[in-house]
Amino acid sequence: MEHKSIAFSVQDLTVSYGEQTALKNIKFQVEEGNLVGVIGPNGAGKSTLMKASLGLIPKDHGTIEFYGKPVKQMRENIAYIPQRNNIDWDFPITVLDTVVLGTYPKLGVFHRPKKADRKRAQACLEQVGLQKFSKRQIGELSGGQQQRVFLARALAQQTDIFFFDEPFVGIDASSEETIIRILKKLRDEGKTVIVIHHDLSKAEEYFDDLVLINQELIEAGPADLVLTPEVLGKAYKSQLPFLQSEGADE
Amino acid sequence: MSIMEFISEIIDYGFVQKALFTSVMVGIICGIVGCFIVLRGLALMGDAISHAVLPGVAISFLLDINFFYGAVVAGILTALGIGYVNQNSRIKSDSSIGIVFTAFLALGVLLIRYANSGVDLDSILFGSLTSVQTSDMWMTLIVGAIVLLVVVLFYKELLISTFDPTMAAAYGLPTKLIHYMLMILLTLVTVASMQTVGVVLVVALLITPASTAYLLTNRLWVMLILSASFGVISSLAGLYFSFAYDLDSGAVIVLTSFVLFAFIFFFSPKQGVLWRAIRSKRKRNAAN
Repeated sequence: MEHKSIAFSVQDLTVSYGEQTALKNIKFQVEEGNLVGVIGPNGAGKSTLMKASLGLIPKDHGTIEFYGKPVKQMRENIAYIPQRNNIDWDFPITVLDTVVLGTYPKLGVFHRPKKADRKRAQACLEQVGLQKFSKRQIGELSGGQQQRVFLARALAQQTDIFFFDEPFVGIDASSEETIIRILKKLRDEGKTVIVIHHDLSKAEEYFDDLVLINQELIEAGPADLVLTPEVLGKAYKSQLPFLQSEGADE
Repeated sequence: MSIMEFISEIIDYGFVQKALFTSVMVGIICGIVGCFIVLRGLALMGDAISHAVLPGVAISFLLDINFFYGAVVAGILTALGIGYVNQNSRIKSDSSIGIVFTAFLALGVLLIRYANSGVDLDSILFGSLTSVQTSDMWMTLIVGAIVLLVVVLFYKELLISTFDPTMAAAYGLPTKLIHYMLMILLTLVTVASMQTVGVVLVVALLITPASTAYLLTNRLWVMLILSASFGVISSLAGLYFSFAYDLDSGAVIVLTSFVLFAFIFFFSPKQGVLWRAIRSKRKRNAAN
């Protein structure tokens, strides 16, 4: 069996907001070339895990490494797509210019995007099927299209690691299909993709591995081993009766 | 005085030239910095910093130094103070802005009375274009050069940290530093505008031309150019009316920028209230 390197590792990560502990002693590893879903109930700390991993919020303790290096040395090699509701959709920027932003991290200070950078952005926009919309203001697009624009921007960053926070919330089925197809293609090219997800029904279809958390790590491993009733029961203890009764209604 | 007479006065008299140069420069830099203030949702912050430079001006007079230094220090202390109250308590940002800047303003009023330096409080608060000195003109020129240089050099960083601060931070931009850099620019612009619009009304020259431009374009660099142009038009109107009819320059500048805003607000082809109403009526008619 070929030996794969560890693209992303979390050791003993603890994060708290004031007195409230959000994450406690989280520990898992992600091999290069994997498409990984981070799942867990509401308030489990999924976004917190992502932000702390990227050094966007302070951690109490723990070690985060990307290919064995701290995040500070790897920033240019990680693309992060936060949740859509953090963006000002009235901002005076076109679809293409939004994708061009993806070329910024690799340009030095004082350097402007060149023709080649704009071409690359155009190609990324084509990959997500939105080339026709390049001159529109971003707020004029639907939620699913907006999410695809941000995926195109991440592609333009040309990184080896991708972090995606809840990409499928409130978007249309065809956008969801386009996005998962591209994420799988990235995986096949050897990129490492980590996605926060909350819809358990599609988790096995979408992801190779899953990381199930509820403030603590419940289980991490191949999707079929995580999605068992016993393991899920540990994470969704309070919500399980609710989930069952919802199923009974159908 | 007719416009032609006014133009010949500009040519003949040095002090009118100084006022012209200063007010045009102020229009440009307020328009440009104002775009970032508007897009970042910092209009209230702009208001706060512009008022809070007052104690700095007073202390400069007490220490007998150029009021520029004191004003800049006061402006930066205000920005830091607001950030500190905001981050270290549950108080929401609009309240922390209100608390800190009114305290600075009140202190400024008392200090100016105490300094009794012959500082004309009115001209600081409301501007007085007719009394622009050569030193004021040079200061405005230097501030203008700094603002333009920073915006041109860091355009990319300003754009992305304004539009998507999370992505900016994720790829390693120092977003907090950029915020404070912008607060320093804001303070510099406020101080430079004291002569023309005064500290009470400078916020209008920051947010009104920028908001007017915002209604007209979907590109940031176009918004910057339009906003600067609206700022210049407003400043020129203020200049003309204050020399020709002895009106308060600050008030005329602000009202001119408001008239421009109101016109675009109703008649802008894309966002204008009037065209939107006509379009939706046409749609309804077509549907029937």
